[in-house]
Amino acid sequence: MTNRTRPIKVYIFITCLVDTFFPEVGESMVKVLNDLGVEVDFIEEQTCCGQPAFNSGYQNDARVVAQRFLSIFEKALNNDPNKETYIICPSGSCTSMVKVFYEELFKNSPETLKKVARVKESTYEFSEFLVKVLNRVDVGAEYNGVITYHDSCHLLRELRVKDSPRELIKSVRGVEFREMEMHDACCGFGGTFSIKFPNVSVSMLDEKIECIVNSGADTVVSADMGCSMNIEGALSRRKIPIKVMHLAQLLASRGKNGI
Amino acid sequence: MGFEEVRFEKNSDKAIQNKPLQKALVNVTDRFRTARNKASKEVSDWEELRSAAREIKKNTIANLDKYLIMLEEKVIKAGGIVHWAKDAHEASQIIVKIANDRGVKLVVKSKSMATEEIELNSSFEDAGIKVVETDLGEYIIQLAGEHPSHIIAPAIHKTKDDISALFSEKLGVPHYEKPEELTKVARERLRSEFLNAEMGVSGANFAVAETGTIVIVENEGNARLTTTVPKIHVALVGIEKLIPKYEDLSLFLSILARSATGQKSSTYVSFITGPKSPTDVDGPEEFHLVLLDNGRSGILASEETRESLYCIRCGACLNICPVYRHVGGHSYGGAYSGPIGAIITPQLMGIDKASELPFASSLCGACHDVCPVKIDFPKVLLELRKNVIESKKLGINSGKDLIEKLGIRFWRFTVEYESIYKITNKLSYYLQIPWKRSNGKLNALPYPFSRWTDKRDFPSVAKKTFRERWKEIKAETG
Amino acid sequence: MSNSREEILYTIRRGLKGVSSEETTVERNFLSEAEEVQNLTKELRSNLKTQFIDELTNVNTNVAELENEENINKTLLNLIKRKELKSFSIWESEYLKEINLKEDIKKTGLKFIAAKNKNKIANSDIGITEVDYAIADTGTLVLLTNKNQPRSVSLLPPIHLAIVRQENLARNIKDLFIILKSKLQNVEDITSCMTFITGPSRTADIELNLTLGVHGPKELIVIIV
Repeated sequence: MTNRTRPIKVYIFITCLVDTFFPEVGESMVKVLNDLGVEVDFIEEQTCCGQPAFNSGYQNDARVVAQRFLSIFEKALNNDPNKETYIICPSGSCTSMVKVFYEELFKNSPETLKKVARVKESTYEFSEFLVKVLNRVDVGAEYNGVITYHDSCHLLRELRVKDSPRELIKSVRGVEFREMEMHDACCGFGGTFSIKFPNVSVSMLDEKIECIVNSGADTVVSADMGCSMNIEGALSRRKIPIKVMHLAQLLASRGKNGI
Repeated sequence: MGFEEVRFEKNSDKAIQNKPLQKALVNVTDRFRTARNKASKEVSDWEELRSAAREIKKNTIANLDKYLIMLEEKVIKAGGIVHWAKDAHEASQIIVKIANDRGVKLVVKSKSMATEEIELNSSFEDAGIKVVETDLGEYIIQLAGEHPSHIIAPAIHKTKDDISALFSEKLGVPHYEKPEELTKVARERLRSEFLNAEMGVSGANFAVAETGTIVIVENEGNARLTTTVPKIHVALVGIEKLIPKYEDLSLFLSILARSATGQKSSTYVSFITGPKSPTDVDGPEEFHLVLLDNGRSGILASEETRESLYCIRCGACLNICPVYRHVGGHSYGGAYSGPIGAIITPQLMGIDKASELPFASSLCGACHDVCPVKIDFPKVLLELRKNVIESKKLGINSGKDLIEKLGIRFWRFTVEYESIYKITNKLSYYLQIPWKRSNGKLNALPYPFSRWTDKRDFPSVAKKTFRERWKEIKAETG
Repeated sequence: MSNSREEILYTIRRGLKGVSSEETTVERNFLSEAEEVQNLTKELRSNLKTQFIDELTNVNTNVAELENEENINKTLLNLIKRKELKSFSIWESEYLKEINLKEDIKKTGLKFIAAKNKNKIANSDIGITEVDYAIADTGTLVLLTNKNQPRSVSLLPPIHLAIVRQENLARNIKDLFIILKSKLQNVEDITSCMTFITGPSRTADIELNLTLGVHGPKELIVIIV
């Protein structure tokens, strides 16, 4: 770790998907961070970053929601001046909304852009934070299984995060890592794309499922719940017994096949 | 076949059911993307080349009026004639008039997306002039009466047997098994067309302002024949094809073939400046350059989407696109498909005629990564989505549009007020009960979410959301 | 029609309002750059030749490497005999005239077909040219058109044979354009048609099967000396 003078404090940017459907992922994140000696807090006012509206073309609506997000989190960043404060998110796509697309959304509002700059500087996707900021790759996790990893699109191409998740997975005791074919191909989720063009979405998903199955893995890990939800939706419907886990859940595992 | 409103969902649903097409698409995209990947890795400064190419295109477009005037001057000095066409109709009229004025009865054409865009062949046919496509892929789809399904390999959706049957039916030849035999048929038939045609029509990959040179890249040799043998050569060139200087070609030619097919260089590149010189033994006596606008100047005016004009038509975006891979070129309507089709067709045809296209993408961004001129497709798509929604505010909305609008209203209401958000979650937890299975998943939901649950399970709302659990979590881990 | 010209230019200018039209123009001295890129050591030239031959082979070109120029005609005549050709077309360019190639071929009884008549040259068995330049790292031949170098000779007959001399070789396309630009003192003197040829004609339009000899020559032979 670089010479840190101040203790680290993390505010969880939970994302609506994790909050509502997969709270256990949020729990795992908190556990992992706590185990690494990081103080974790959660602001209950938060709701959404605005991405669903932005991606659907409703930019005015997205702006209103994004403003709310920025106010909440900018305030949080000012809470503890004697701590190194970060905003950590378990989703590549929500993180990229803040770090990449907020600038686009507010390009005509110089005042808000200042807020954006402040907030995005301290915002990280979970795996990036562990590896690049905390400089930790081994977080003491243990899991017996053959794991393959799905590169979620925004994480890979907007945030350029490719190696961190893999390094973290490979450091989990008991894990055998297998790279699948077309690991960086889109799973077909794309937010509302999955219900606007469901047949195209499922066709893309079919190919992803085939690659997962062919890899011989018993577990597929991803750093985005959108992708995981999509993949798990197909595996479960087809009764394919491959486990789907968010990276945080894997890293919180401390025993044989358990969380 | 005209270009009517693009029905992407309808078209793509059909395409997904077409098993032979699916197989062909996987084949062609795998081949080209692997080849492009290899070819780009062989060039150590590939990223610098991409940036430099984008920069040149950016500067050219920012000075397009100046460069168009320069190009016109040089082409005229070289003995060519320059025409300006503001739209598809005018362009076709100009070209057909050139043919009619000279008593042309037979035209040979080399591959040109721009001529597809303006539907030139129908205009020739309406005027009673025979036009023959000479690129093998284009020849095949002309015989079949179809549009191209891929920018580089237009007939890739056809199997060898399809083509064999097509040739038998339309050309009266026996049913051939081997591609070499089929190619030989095409070579022989088309050779006589080349020799008899009075006019050749081509497109161009680049137009160099400094020298008045148009550049045509190909593998078959049909463009060379089209622009050498007939007495008249007409080149239809989109105004965005300009590059400023002769030496800029070395950069663009280095990245074009590699991005398109993975070749270090295409088989032939023709650099044509005007008609034949007075002392040349062969070559066309007349050269006509038809500059095509047809909506390009409109794209140029929009700062957010201007980079759509940087495209050099390599097809790399098609080959990497997961959507294209599953739906093929015909799903996109129009002359262009894949990511480039999704961004320029709505802008050239009008957003109302192609309002589904900007949404026909999961925004995965793979196209941005392979584009030799670094077009930021996701950014342009998002801008076009905004434009579609804005246009829908004013226009008549379908039932689907209204549901979506209500959905966004509702979503915004819930996320603007935390209390509403919490209530909605709690309500959803109870409302989902009828659809919740023993495995904790929802296997059926009302429209529009039925479009998810038709083929996939949906997760259920947790009994206690993360924020409801927060105090406990903090206590457990703290 | 001039109406459309004005309209288009007007729309463009209006659309570009507020867009910086600044361009950083770097003044280049192509004459000195050309000198630099052509000033290659003997060893480098030899390596270039090897690279060129490799690349030619990669694109299905048949290559005959000769130690010296004396054997060009002999080699060519043997080839013609082996292939049992009946007619030929040829460039009347300076170097080919110098080595008296046309006359030597005529002496063997082959019919000479001029490029003037397109139907006749379409029936010629072989087209023989030299090259103005060649690009080593892609195996590309560069042919300029002029009164002694018609386009059809390398296009219509089913076999194209090109004679490349070592001094024609440029390292890569970047260097080539520097050389071309240096020779283009007056832009108006540019050739009506320059052609890059990399291998024989080909297509993969039928199920991605590579087939040679679609419209252009089926066979490309390079004699490098």
